[in-house]
Amino acid sequence: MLRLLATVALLAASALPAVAQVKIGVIASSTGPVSVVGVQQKNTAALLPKQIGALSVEYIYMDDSSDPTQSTKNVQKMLIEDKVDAIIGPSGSPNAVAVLPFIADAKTPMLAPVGSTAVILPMDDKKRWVFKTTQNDNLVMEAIVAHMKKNGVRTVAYIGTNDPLGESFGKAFKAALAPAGIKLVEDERFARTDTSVTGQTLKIGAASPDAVLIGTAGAATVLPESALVDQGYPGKIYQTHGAATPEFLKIGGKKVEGTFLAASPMLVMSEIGDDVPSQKIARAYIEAYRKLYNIEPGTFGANIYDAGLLLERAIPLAGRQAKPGTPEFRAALRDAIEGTKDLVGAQGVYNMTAQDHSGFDQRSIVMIVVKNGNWSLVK
Amino acid sequence: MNAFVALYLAKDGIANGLVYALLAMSIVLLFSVNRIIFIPQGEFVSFAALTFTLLQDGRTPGTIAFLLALLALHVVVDVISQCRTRLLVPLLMESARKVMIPLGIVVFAYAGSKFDLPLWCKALISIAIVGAMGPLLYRLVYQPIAGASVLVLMIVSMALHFVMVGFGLYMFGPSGQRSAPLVDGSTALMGVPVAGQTFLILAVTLLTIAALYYASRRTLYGKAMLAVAINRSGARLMGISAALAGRLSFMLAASIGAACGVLLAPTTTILYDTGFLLGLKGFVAAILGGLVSFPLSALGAILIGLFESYSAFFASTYKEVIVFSLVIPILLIRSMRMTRREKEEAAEESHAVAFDDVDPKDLQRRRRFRTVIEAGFVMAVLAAPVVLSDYDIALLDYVGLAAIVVLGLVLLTGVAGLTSFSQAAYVGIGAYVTGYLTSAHGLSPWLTLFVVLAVVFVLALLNSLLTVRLSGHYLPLATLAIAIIAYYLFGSLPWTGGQAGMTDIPAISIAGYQLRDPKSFYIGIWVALLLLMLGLRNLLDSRPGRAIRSLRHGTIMAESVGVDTQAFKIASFVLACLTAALAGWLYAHFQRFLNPSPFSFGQGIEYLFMAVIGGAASIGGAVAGAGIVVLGNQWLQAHLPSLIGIEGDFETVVFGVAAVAMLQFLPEGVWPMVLRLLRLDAASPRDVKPARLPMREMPPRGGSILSVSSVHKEFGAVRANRDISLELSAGEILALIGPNGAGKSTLFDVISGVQPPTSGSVTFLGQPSDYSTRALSLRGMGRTFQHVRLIPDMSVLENVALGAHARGRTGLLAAGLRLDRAEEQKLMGEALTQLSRVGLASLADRSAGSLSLGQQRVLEIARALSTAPCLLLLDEPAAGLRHLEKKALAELLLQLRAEGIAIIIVEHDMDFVMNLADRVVVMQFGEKLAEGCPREIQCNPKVIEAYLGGVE
Repeated sequence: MLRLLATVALLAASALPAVAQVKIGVIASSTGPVSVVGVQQKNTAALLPKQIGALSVEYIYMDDSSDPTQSTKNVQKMLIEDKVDAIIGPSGSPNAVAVLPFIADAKTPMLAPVGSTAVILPMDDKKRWVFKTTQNDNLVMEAIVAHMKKNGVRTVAYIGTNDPLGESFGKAFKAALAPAGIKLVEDERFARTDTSVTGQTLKIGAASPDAVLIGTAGAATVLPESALVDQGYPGKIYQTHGAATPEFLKIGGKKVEGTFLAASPMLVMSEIGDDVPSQKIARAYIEAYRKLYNIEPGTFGANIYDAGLLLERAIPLAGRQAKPGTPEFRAALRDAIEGTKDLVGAQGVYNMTAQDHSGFDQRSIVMIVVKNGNWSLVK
Repeated sequence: MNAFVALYLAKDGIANGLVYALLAMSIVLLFSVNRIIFIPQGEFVSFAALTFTLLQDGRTPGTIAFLLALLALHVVVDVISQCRTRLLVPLLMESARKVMIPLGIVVFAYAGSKFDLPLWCKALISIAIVGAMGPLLYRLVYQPIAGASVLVLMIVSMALHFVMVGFGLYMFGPSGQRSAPLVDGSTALMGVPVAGQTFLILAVTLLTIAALYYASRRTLYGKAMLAVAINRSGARLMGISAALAGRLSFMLAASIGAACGVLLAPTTTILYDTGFLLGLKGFVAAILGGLVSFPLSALGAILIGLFESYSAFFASTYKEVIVFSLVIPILLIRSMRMTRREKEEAAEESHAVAFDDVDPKDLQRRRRFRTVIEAGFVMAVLAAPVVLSDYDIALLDYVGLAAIVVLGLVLLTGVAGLTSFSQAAYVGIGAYVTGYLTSAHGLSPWLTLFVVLAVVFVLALLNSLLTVRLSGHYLPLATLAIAIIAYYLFGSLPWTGGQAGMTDIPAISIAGYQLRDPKSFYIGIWVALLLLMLGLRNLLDSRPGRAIRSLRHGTIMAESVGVDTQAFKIASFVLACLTAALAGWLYAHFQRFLNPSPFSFGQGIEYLFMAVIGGAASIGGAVAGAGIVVLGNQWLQAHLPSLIGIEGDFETVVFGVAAVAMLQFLPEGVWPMVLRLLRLDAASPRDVKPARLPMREMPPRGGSILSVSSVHKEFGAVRANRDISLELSAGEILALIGPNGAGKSTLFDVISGVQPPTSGSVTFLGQPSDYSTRALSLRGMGRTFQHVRLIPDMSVLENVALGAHARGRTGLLAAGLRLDRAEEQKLMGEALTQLSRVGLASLADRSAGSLSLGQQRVLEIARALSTAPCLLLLDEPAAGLRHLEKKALAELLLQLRAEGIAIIIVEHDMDFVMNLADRVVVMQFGEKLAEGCPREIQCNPKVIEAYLGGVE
């Protein structure tokens, strides 16, 4: 009997994970309005490296329900209780903005997979702890606006969701429009769960802009587009990378044929030549994700994957200078991430500087068109 | 906008309106049959729509497993609830028989999902699955609390909504789906393309209306439901089970919701949470129909669809604001049309636990124990920053912030009985005002604190002037609308930073030291909380506090002792809003970032949960509730995913289930339960010395007090009073007798100003009555009630002191700051004097609810005497008294008469009346039959015939 107990105890003990040396907090919005983005990111967290160099890594995951206040609570818990060495997340731009003061006070690096540049620009004492692993919203918008301009678009309308996502897309879009000399003639809002957007799309139709940009993510991207198509809107329809999900094609069907969107080259892997450096990593990521979940990831999860790559390069460097779990390690980690040069990720190439904590350039964005129910590269 | 656009919008509005109409009718059905305001109606829509699309993809929808789980739970609950009284095997058999049909649906649906059936088959399967959930949900969630108040049922509905959305996310995932069309093609109507699908929706809506109408008139089950809807207890007497009607109505509502889902799925993208806003709009439509009328609700739904469609065109940013604003004027009109009597019936019944008699020594010991606990709590609060980690303190900061908000709700909902879902909105207003002024204009947070309080004071005052006059369930509905409107405004007004949020809010600094870290903020929050708790405790134990505590028990009694109930309702509302705004101010400078989500209507509901879980009427309950919910939520969020190993919104599910269970098993809340277990729930005794307040000048003996001339009172075709005239002078006792239904109580109501006569007039002390109970009370008319109206959870002495309300002056602020003790001593002294007169002084510290009925009647007389009346109306004061008590009462009344007080007494005990009264008025069939001194009346042949009529 005693031996049995001892065996059980031994088994139980061996089943417990060994105490990890590096602790990373992961915050994603796997529920709530941003969950289209967050679920992929949360799923990707399982693909992050458990061992970096000689150091084992533990990931502590929390959902913030898309609520910035919950993000700040999560961040506080991770910083104070778990004493994490770095944080990956949160999914939403406002969420990342909300946690800034806490990150800065705790002097802990954060890798934010968010679009808004507001988390890293203008660079200051608070933001020096934040790195961004997603194409800047303005990069996406610049690519879209450039494509519009090239195709003779003079007037546009914007329709976005009345949530943080739609709002930050709208902001970035308007900022990109001014220098290009394109005029915004309508600016409409709808709710993610609306069952009809006819009022908004009729108004857009009445203003007859040359193009319309739809600013939201996931399934909600389809409704305004199909309403516009049903009303016989003749102009071009653009989407952001928020539409770069399989369900956009599935739900949209024939109605989204011909849609333009700016997104990561990951979406059109087969058409990209070897000249795009990120291709190999993207393939590896997609493969790993599919193996685990049986579906293909959108581009949002890749932001987390890239955050993992950045850490994979920076942690060994920081590990040489200090022990994980100390303020010195966190400072060294920050410095190491800031020093990242020519790191190829799934979405593009990272070159960080003290001023640019995003490190992406235009290579990370391509224009894509929906052709025959599939993504196709605009050449 | 041209004609084409206008037509197109109209078409779209009507198409959406039809769906709202179906939902609105289900909501009306559920409300009229079960009194349940069913918020989750929209969830049936998304459940069915997504089940439908999953079936089309050839997958097995999670709803089948969900239905199976409900079935299993049903059997378990059946067994647990009856296993003590019955044998297990027959019980299981019966329970299994009840779930046969849904079980069949599960098997059929599961088999169906494996084959490629035609589209309409899949549609029917989806409707069957969701439709079968309805009765099961009723059995599990509502049946155990079928007798609860509308409010409790509504809160349970909110909880169920959270549970269903949480499961929805788990079953369907966050992404949306769209179905293949059920009907292809479209036709042009006046140039506007109309999809075939729209005609299908129209047909289903019309069919549903017709079917509901037919069923309620012609079928047995339909008639049964109608009977329950009209009169619950009457239906029970007829052998119609309310539970059966409940299950039926839920099956219908769920099926109608499911049909909506199947019809909508091809026209738009459906997400797991699409249903909520749909349901809310159906709900607004149901309100437009007064929650009773099917056709009016359907019309209201079309109206909302049109409104929505046009406002989406003109101002899409403010669309929801516009739609939900529709509710307020409608509710106002509705409430104005309610008569006063209805209002009184709508008042919440109290289920206060009366505390028992305890000996004074034990009370002393308990009081000491209580003081120790309170001191311990304060010490623990102060010691926390030294002992606990930074993270725990940060959590306690959130607990403290929430507790401040909930404290306001304790006053408003728990004590005053007014439910508000808009607390979170007022937190938001406070936070945004200070956030904007400090970040955009660089004002000091200390300055903005006053601005915040001033702004919220004005807004809350306006809001309460509009809504507090709404009674019953209309007030919560109005506050729900306000909460929704405020949330959308926070997200769309130009200066709030919109959904992206407001940044750069400075921290509060005290003498140059910035409160940035959780620990320094902790002190600010908890000191504020402790002070507020103290202030609220002081307030509740004071003259205005007793008035607020009386509000929950209907307004007539409070008005009869001169309480301005309207003013105190408004005051409670404004106070609750101000505490919320204070929490908002603290929150803004603690978080230093604002976005709309912490101020959403969901959060408003969560605050109510906190109050209910903690114990809505107890101050300690605010902290207990906030602590349980905030810490519990955080713990669940951190540990639940690893506990159950799957992702989802499970903390909301656990939370919703816990709230439902809580309301089913522990309606009083956690904190009162703890107090009861520790035997600390008794009122603390007071040291009171008898005293007298200055008396009013009594009219001269023999002078006219009351004159009733030719009063008619009609209720529709019923004439309750016909041509009644009476005279009464000071120091006279007039008895009003007559068989039941003679119109005595109606006459009492007319005299005491509860309702005006149809014609005729009443003159009191030489001036015409203005038929306001309160004004008459202030002029010297005191009364008791046939059905005793006391505040059972207040002590006997406090109940009597409430009577002296109009003779004191202490305001809310003075009461909160404890500046009222001198006057309080006098009020209590007066109360004790009156209590001694009626012979109840020895019971002063007992709870009023623990007295015998006879003692309660006498207590009412003492309360009426505390108003210093010159006319006393007594409605059956001797009923339930024993012989000696009756004798004492008669002596008391004679003594009052000697003091010059005039008394009208309605009484059935003839010996009592005839020995006491100076004059007797006999009423029959609403008319005055005879009048005279007792001796004359006893010999009057008409009276003898009326009482003994039909002997010969």
